Formats: sequence, structure tokens, C-alpha cells
Amino acid sequence: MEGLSSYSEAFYKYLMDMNSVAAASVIKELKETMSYLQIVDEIIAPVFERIGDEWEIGALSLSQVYMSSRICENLFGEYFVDSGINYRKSPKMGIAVIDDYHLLGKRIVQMILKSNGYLVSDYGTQNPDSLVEFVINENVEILLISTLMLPSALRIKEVTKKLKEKREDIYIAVGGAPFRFDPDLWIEVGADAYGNSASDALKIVSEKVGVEK
Amino acid sequence: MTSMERVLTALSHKEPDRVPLFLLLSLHGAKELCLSIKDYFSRAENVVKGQLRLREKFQNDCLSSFFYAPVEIEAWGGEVVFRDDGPPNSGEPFIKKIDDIEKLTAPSVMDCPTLVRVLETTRLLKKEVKDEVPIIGVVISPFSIPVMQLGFEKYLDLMHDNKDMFSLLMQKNESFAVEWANAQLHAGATAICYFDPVSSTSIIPRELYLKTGMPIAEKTISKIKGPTATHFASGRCLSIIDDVALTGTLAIGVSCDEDMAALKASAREKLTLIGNLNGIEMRKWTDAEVFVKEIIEKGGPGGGFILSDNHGEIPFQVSDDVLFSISDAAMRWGQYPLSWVNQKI
Repeated sequence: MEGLSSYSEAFYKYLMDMNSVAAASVIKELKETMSYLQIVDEIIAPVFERIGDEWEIGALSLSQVYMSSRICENLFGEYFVDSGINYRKSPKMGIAVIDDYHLLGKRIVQMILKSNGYLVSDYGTQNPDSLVEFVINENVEILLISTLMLPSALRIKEVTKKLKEKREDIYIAVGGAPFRFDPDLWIEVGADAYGNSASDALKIVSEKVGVEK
Repeated sequence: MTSMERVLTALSHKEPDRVPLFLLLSLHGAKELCLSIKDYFSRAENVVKGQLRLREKFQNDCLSSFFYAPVEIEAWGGEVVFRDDGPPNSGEPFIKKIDDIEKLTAPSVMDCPTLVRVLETTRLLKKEVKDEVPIIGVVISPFSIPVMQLGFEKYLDLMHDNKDMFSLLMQKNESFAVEWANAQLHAGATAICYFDPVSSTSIIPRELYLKTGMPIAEKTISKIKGPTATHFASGRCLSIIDDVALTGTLAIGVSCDEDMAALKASAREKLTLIGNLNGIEMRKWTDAEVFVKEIIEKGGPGGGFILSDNHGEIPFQVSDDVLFSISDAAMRWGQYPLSWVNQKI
């Protein structure tokens, strides 16, 4: 295969076909001439950006985003973590869901971030008070919150208010169905950013951490 | 026309006297009766009172005996978590390991007190309105309920990686769904809302729907002894409308994520469209008229259309002012033959 664009196209196709073996072969081949970060920045991140864009317009389904993320998370584990290459240096990051057990959105974001070399601590399902406590105790600097239900999304306001009183520098990004259907909701709840798709979380984190895309 | 006549005419793809209005208000009855959500659902009489009051208040063309989605999870032995500001939610998924599916037994409707309470609600509503107002019962599709039984991630893994266990779970879920739907029809429900968000193309691609959600819907709906409407809970469906029509359902709940004009063009004479007001943004509307007019203009002509929200449940946070605004606009702009639309053309 010649040229990075053909690798990128092939990688995208194999993810859509859910062909983890073929996707792995692309990474294996690229590893011979490229560093881990180069592969992530040139291939994996742009492919996820494309996946995110296509999901937003309805050209892809959530299950396709999930399966793609799952394959990439496994590839990352196999080819990078196991070979001793560490995660990127970044501020402490955490991700949580407020008040319910619909965890898929959080999980997809985690997988995409991990596949791109970012370590994110998973705080599971929390209520606003317990989440604030976790964030303060763990010195989290970038907090990602995912919600499915409108009442839970509205409760994020309690989190942002309490956290910003204690830590002015905390950066809070939100995502999930309520934010998709009400584009101003993230402002209302006091967040610093909002992701329309799981891939947006990668853009937000990369920009915040200062990695050029 | 009575509400029943109006809705039946619309379902026949003819124009009734006005566009039917389905304000799906599961929770607002609690506000109406000044009760907590948990207390509201603790007695059938509360829900009946709430539904009847709301219908009169907002000129609603239906009554709903629906309580909350995890009412079925209760029957399976799962947890329900109540809150004061929104719909009760399912707790931690109760199927912890995939192998547990083999030991799972479909519950019997009459063994679950909350399901019995829903049936009692249905009976009481029927006694009140007889055949004048459609009563909508809800069943969660066998294909969608595993999100609460297993958790979404584990369910997607099961669907893709373990076809045998997936099929077994579908069989068990189907037998419960059919029993539950038919029990509600027997108690007096006019139609069943077949709640199937996982079949939406927002969640799975069409190719997978054709192998999973669609045959499951066909099989389940064929055993339900009454009419059904399929709802995708804000999920997209435009590219599968022709497929959904083949499942035997009569109507489809559609998302504000898709254009009503495109949906209507695809569904005309095949499926009645129910939707698609944006329930999330709705709470901030000062005047619903512009949104109601746009949707009626696109979906109303020719019948086959019922004005409603796009999720199947209007959020608790939506005020009475907004609901009045929607109702008033529906009355004002929904009178057939929709001359104002024809004049624009």
C-alpha cells in the first residue's frame, strides 16, 4: 500500500467491516516505519474524526462507533501498552456519568481516548456531590461528564458550580443525548466545552492538552 | 369527532377534523396532583386522575397507561431508581454474566405488583372513556429491553459476538413482551406502543436491523392481539421506514433529528407518523407556534399524521405554559383541510 491516505482508508474500511485482524495488520505494517504517536496522529485520530462526523449526520450508527472503538482499544493494548510505550503526558483526566447506569457513551469516549494514547480515570456512576469529592481528592484537571437523561444533564450545574468555587482551573466537558438535542444546554450547566460525538471528546482533549491536529 | 374517531381516521391515511394531538405526559400527572413521582405511581387511581385531568387541560387525543420504562425490569427482578425530577430509571443491570441468560425465566405479568397496577390503571381509564379516547399501552421490544437487563455495552458485545445467547435472550424476552402487551389490550388498551429504540439507525445500521430488530419485531407484533405503533425514542428511522412497514405496525414515532417532510414522503400511505417536536428544547420555548406549524405543514396533509413529541415522553421540566402553547397552536393550525398550507403552495 502506498501513501498514508490509503492506509487511513483501509483502516477505516476494516473498522467498518469489524475486521480486527485486518485492522491490526495495518497497524503492524505502519509500526515498522512510524512511531506510536505518529500512527495515532496520522491514522487513528483522523479516522475517528471521520467516524464522529459521519455519526453526527446519521451516516453511521452508535454500534459502529462502539465496535470501532473496541477494536482500536484492543489494538492499542496489544501494540503499545504491552510493548512498554506509555500513555501521552497529559493533565489528570477523569470521566463519569451522573445519576444513571447508561454507561455506553462514557465507555466509547474512554476507548477512543485510550486508543489515542490518553489515560482517563473512570469514576463510574456518581451523584453531583460524590463526583465533586472524587475530582478534588484525585486532583483531576480535565473532567468529562456523559449523560443520557435531561434531569441528569441539568444536575451537572451543581457539579460545575461546586468545582469552580474550589478550583478555578478545572476544565469540564460534557456530552450525551440531551446536549445533542439542546445545543445551548452545555452553557446553561456551566461546562467549558461540549462534544456532539465521542470523537469530539478526542478533539477537545487534544486541544486542551495542546496537541496539534 | 371523538378523539377515537379522529385518531382512527388519521391512521387510515385520511384527513379527520383536525390533526390529532398526542401529548405523551407520563410524569406531569404527579405535578398535577402535587405528588412525588414515586407516590404518583404507587396507586392506579392517581395515574387515572392525572391522565384524565391532563387530557381535559390540554385537549389531548389519547390517554396513556404507561408508568415508566423500567416497570418491566421490576418484573424481571431488577432495580428501579426513583427521582424527584424525572422518569424512574433502571438500576444496575441484573444480568451480570452472559451465562446467566440460560437460567433466566421470563416473569409472569400477574406476579409483578407494578404491572398489575398498570393493568388496573388501564381498566379504570377504559371504564371512564369507553371507546371515545384511545388508551395507549407500552411494551419494550424484546430487542431493546436488554439495554436495561445487561447494560448497553455488554448487549452490543452479545449481539455481535454470541449469536446463540443473543437468540436465547430474544426468545425469553419475546414471550414476556407478548404476554405483557396482550394483558394490556385485554385490560382495555386500544393499541400498544412497541418501544424499540435499539432498532433505530441511530443505534444499529440497517444491515444489522434487517437481521435482528426487524425479524424480532415481525414475530412479536404478529402475536400481539391489537394494533401497534413502533417508537424509536428520538432515534432516526428514515432509511428503514419501508422495512418497519413490513413488521405489521401501523404507525411510527419519529425523531426531530430527521426532516418531517422527508419522513412523510417515505411513509405516505404506509405508516402514520407520530412526532416530532423536540422534547429537550421544548422546556425553553416561549411560543411553540412556529415549531407546531412547521411540523403540521410538513406532516399533516393527507392524514397519516399525529402531532407529538419526538421521544415518546415529554420531560418533567416542560411547563404547563409550553404545553398550552403547543395545544393552542395545534388547535389553531391543525384544522383540516389545512387551507393555510394549501394557500402557501
